[in-house]
Amino acid sequence: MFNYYENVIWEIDGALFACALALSAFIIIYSALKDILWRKRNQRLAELKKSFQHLAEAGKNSIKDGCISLTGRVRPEEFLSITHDINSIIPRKFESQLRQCFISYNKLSDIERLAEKSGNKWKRIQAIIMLGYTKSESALNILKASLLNKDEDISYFSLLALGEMKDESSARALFDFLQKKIYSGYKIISLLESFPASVAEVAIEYTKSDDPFVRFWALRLLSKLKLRGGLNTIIELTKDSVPNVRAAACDCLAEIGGQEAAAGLRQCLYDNFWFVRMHAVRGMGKVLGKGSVREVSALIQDGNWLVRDAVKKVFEDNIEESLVVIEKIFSGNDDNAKADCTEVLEFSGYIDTMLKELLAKEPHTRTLVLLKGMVGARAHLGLEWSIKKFSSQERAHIISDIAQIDPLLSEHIDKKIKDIIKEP
Amino acid sequence: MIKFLLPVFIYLLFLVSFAYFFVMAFYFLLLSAITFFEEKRRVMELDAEDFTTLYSSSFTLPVSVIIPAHNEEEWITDSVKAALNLKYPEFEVIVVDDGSTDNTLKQLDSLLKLKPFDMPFAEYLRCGRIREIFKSQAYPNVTVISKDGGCKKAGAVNAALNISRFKYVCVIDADTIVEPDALIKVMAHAQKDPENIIGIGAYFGLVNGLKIKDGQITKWSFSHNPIVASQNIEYMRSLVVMRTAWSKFNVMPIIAGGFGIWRRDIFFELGGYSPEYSSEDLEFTFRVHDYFLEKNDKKYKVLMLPYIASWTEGPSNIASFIRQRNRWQRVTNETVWHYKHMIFNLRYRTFGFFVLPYFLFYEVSGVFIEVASIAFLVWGITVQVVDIRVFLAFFSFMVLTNTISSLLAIFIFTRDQKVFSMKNIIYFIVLSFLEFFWYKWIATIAKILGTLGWSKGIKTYDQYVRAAR
Repeated sequence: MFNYYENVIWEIDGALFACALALSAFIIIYSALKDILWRKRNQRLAELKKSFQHLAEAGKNSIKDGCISLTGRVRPEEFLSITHDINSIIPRKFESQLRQCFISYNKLSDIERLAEKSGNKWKRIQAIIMLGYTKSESALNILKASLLNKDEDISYFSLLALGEMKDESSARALFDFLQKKIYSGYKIISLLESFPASVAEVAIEYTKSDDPFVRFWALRLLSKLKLRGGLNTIIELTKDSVPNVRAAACDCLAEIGGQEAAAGLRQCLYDNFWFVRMHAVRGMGKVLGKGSVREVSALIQDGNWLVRDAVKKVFEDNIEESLVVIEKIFSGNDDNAKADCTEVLEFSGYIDTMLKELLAKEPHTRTLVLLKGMVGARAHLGLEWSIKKFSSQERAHIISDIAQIDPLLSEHIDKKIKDIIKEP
Repeated sequence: MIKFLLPVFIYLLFLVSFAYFFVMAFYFLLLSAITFFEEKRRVMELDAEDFTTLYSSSFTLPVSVIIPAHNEEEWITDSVKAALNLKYPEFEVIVVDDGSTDNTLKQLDSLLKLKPFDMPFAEYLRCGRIREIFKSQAYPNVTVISKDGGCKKAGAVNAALNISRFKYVCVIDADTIVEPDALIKVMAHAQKDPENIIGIGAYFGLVNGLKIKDGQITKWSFSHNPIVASQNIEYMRSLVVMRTAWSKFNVMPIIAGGFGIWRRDIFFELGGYSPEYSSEDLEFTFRVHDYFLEKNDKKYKVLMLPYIASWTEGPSNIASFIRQRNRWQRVTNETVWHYKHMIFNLRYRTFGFFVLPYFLFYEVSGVFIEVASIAFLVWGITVQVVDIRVFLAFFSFMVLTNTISSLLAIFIFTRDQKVFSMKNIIYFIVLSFLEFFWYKWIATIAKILGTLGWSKGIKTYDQYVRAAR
């Protein structure tokens, strides 16, 4: 009655079955062949690497003589594997000879032609990577052009190839490319980070770029290089119109250190933007150490908790110098600042020192003031933990001292220590 | 009347079913063609990448590795050791003991030498009550959170997110052995464009049968258990072929909880993982797409990489398998229902037109079409309305389209990645021909149970009993 197209379906099934069988056979044959080729390739690669190693061990003259014939045996895909592993194959001192040898054999012009025009994308990328390795002058223009290729793979590997060149021209090319904002600053600067220290001069130049994104990343790079050159330029950037740049300048100054850097950081402590202030506080702590406490102490009352957190860290790292400031804060009216100072005493471990001091025959006046301040701040966290470390007699002494300030609190702490009550 | 209508009904059902299988086969073929090139591209990228700079640079983005664990005393040590073996410049590990009633915390203490650490904890993302936070004395970059259960895996991950420090987070399961180079391979992509790369998933295989010591795989003895081997094939189909193809068009619908990397701020923007679903990973990925597409953001990316990042335990018996797939079906239905506003909605572009319909017609409704088509044809044969040869032709069509989709997946995956031996590959090929006769129907039973569970509002996170290692 109804046509189920049975015959048509059987024909389709026949074709599908033939496809399935053919595909199965193909997979098995392909996998078997690939296995064999894979093993042969790995064996060959291992032998090549060993040969290069022996050549390097034999010394400079052997490299000069033996290199070309050996390089002639290296296929492009093997070349990539060898260059990725180069530091484990031959000592750095022979790298440039190997490179020259490679260029001589492979005729730079052929590699350049492939890198510019090859129709096979991945062959083109292999040639681009090789160009980066050759570090030849003519490579730069080709790589700069292919950086802007619409194909993201060609563009990306051109970036890596420029990173491999590690000279002034390629550094400039990478900084210029930063402005395009195609790849992240993290990526580009991570390549520049591995350049010789002379890249700092290029970076300093680019701190004067019109593009704040470039200025920012140039500063980030300089903060890793930690060189004093360009200090005045960096200090100037603490007055940059863009807050990110100012914050990066603070980080940079923190790494460089010194009184001049501290002067630059001081300007940013009262910046309009909280993260600039935060970086300035951290920077001060790093540069001046103990001396930073007085500089940053007013910021314990900053409106932003991250800035206050940075100040707390400075206090914790320099607890002895901070006690005077903390004492003053405890005698003031700012409850938030008091709570923050209590945390500082706890996280710096000073509470233990404080409690030991309480047990002395004549405890320091400051100790009593600090205890009163902590208790008054109603932030008694950590007190029970610390008090538990003492003997029962000592605990009783400490709790009676607390009772003179706040009887209810002392009773509460006593019960908690005796496990009569537990926190939820 | 019934005598007249029945043949009409069976015929129409037959046409619909045939069209359905034809369209699904074509859809999968299309995805396979896309992945054929995309997978090759990704593998070539991997070969050419400069990992030396990534390993040594202080600008390589650090990662917080999060391992939620509930009653994982047998596997947690290996999983944490594998995480500690990661070759990556800077990362932290946060393990969350999520209300375990076994010795999970003791195992962690034994490995990590834990000490209570008094740190402020703010519940920005809902996670439930925290009992204690510990720092490892042996490994300074490891933190352990002990918390009450009750918010499922979602709550456990959220707890870790609340204290995580880095821009990207990597969430793995507690029974996962992560490859030492997993982070560097995946983060190489995030490093290029962290402004727009929101999430990255990667392929993970089944660890069943492999010998593990101190968090490392020492013997590659893949399980010959047909349930496990069939899951391996299915993972190749879905994780490698389908998700890689979807990733090409930025419509990747799920970064699986077994291994996934997310940019941390997106959790805080969207409220973290939700414990309101049977599983957290699918719904969150949908939510991400919904969020960005709603804003008409065209630059965001959620990627899938077709290379191995980790190995995770799969169910090794039918009962466990059904339990797992039951939950997966529930979360699929919950998610598709919740995000139904995206289906065929121009605002959601390719995601609404290319991916969600797949979920609706295949993942959610497909089980009914498949069962109905077989059932009614068989009934048709018994009442002599349909010839048995029609049924056999149709059934063969279903078997063969399924077989070819599996074979294509096996070929695409094994073409460029040396993971499985020749013996394994031949075994997979044989199983591909047989899959439709048994494995498919066990999964179908699980899907039906899952759909029933969803209709009753069941949302439990049912862990299946894993095989001992």
